[in-house]
Amino acid sequence: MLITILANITVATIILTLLAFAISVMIKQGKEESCASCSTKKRSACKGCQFADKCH
Amino acid sequence: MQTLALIGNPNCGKTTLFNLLTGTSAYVGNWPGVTVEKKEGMTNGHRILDLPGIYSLSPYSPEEKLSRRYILDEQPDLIIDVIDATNLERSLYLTNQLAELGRPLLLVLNMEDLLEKEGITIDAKRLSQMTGAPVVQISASKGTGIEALQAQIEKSLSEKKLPLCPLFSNFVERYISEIIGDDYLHQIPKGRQMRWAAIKLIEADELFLSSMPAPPPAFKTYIEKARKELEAHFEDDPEAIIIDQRYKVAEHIAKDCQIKKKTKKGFEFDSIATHRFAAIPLFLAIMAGVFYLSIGLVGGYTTPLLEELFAFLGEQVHLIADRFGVFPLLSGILADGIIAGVGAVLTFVPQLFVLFLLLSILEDCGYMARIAFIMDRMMRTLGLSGKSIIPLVIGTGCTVPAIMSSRTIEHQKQRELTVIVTPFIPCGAKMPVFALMLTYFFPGKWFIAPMIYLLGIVAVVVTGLLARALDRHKETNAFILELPRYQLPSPRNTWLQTRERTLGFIQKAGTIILLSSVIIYLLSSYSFTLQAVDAEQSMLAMLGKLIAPIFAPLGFGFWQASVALLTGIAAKESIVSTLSVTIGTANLGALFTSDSALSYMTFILLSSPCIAAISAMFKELGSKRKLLYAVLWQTGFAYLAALLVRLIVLLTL
Repeated sequence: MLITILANITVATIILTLLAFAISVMIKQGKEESCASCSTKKRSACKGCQFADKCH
Repeated sequence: MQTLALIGNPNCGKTTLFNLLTGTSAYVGNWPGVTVEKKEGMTNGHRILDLPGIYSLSPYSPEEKLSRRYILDEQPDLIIDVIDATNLERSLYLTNQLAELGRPLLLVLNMEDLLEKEGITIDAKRLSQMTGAPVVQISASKGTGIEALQAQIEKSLSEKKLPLCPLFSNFVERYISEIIGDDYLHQIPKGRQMRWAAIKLIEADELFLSSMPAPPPAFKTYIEKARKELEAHFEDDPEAIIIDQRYKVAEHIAKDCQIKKKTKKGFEFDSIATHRFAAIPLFLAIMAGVFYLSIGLVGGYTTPLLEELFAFLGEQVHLIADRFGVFPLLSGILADGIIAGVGAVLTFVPQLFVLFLLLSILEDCGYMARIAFIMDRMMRTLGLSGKSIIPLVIGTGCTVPAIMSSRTIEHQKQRELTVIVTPFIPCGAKMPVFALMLTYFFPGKWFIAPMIYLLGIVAVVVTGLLARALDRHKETNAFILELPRYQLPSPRNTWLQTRERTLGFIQKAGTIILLSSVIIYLLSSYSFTLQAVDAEQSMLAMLGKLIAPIFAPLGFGFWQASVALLTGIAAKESIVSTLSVTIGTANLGALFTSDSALSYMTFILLSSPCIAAISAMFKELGSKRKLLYAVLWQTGFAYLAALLVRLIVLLTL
């Protein structure tokens, strides 16, 4: 019984860790690599737009 | 901390030098216009900036404006002017303009290794005397002369010696001296040189004039008189006169500092590669070879092996999970969702690595620029800018940076049209779908793969012609596309670019594909009442069946194909993982036929791109209405093209 509970917790932890990692990387990528994070707010522009000094 | 600014003509090797000095891995391409924005790094404790390649500091293109504004406003401690040593005279035009800015200048003669081959000898000492700036000879691609350059950078930073300003003919100099003598010139913004400001006044440079207060009437009258007298004397407009004067100085310096031997010309590959009729068939043949090697040869061996590996891994996870009594929901998510979905995408890594490697080699050796040259003529006929070719070439990797690079196109309509047609070019993310379909339905028929590129180009042409026909105010502009010389691909550049693209692909598999695989698994395993059911009764099937009839005329009116298209909006690779989770890649033949597979590929190629690219399109178009029209046009065009392809296949087979 204990082994079953532990096995379920382990598998659930693996899945949640993978999902959390995927989401955090996607958020980071969104900010760094594309204009997806750019808005009219100050310092919200992505790296490319900051450099180009031209984010629409 | 002091600031260095790297500047020079397009394709003179600035980014290669930037990478060497900073130890970074910024993307380098053997064709002009790669650096659209400025890049920043550190070298020996100094801040260094890689500015976009420009031919002059006249504020016409965004790159010229960016570079000029940066140097004038940010006042770098040292300007490093990278000169293509084999094109000294042309490069010196920019050098003359930089000297007028009154900042310490260092001239770097790059590509010294090619001088001997081209029969050119440069007297660096004489060049330094004539320009008043130190000169260092290097080869950025070979990595030679870098230590001497670093030593000279330190020396120049401590000396802060200003270069000599190029002197024009006496007739022009007389007006410059008189303008400098006027009190109005004391009002120039901080950091601007009097001589530079006087030249700008003669040129009537709008950007400069807008930064100045209104001149007193007497001074304004004098400037107008000076311009008229110059026009009468040289029979040209003042701006052209100044350009001509700078070229004369450049010509004089180049003549004095270099000796060119005449070299015999043998067979030139360009006579075929840029030939009006032979170029496109050659391009298709080369692309067919690229696809044969990557998808056919390498993919043929590695994909089945990796498929077996991931299938085995999934089975083992199920076995172990069953033994320990893990809930079927959890083991299903891990094995049938994550491992099956992510694994289906990862099986394409080896062949995509080879594909990206071969494309990088073609780019680095200078062949891709020839394609740009051939396309340039066509682009103009279509109402696109010659510069549109840059986004289209970048689009073979990823559509997002390709769309961003369209910012270099000055004319709004041309820029918007480029943004709309760029997603028609097959990006790396669509390749796994094509590879999957080609492997299962068209084994050995590798001529189909380059046809995908041809179809993308046809879509660009049709859209361009249509836009041209509808546009009442046809815009044309000049674009200098310089053909870079053929060179042996640099292993470092090729490796960096291949690695970046491959890692980007793997990273996508570990992020958006992983997420979508889990969601697809859950939606395909449960009903709306949250009961575990067969896939046919699942939420996903219900959703898919709602939209599937739309695609029935295209031959893929089944829910699995429809939901795969929906997940493709998140990332195009998701189409493969979704098909893998819902059908299983080995069972594709049960639902698809060769005609519906071709029609499916056509629809994926031409329909609206992934959400990241749609977001980039929105940013560049700057309007929700325009974005909606663009997406509707892309999807509508894709639908019609897919229908046409299917009809042709059905009629011919």
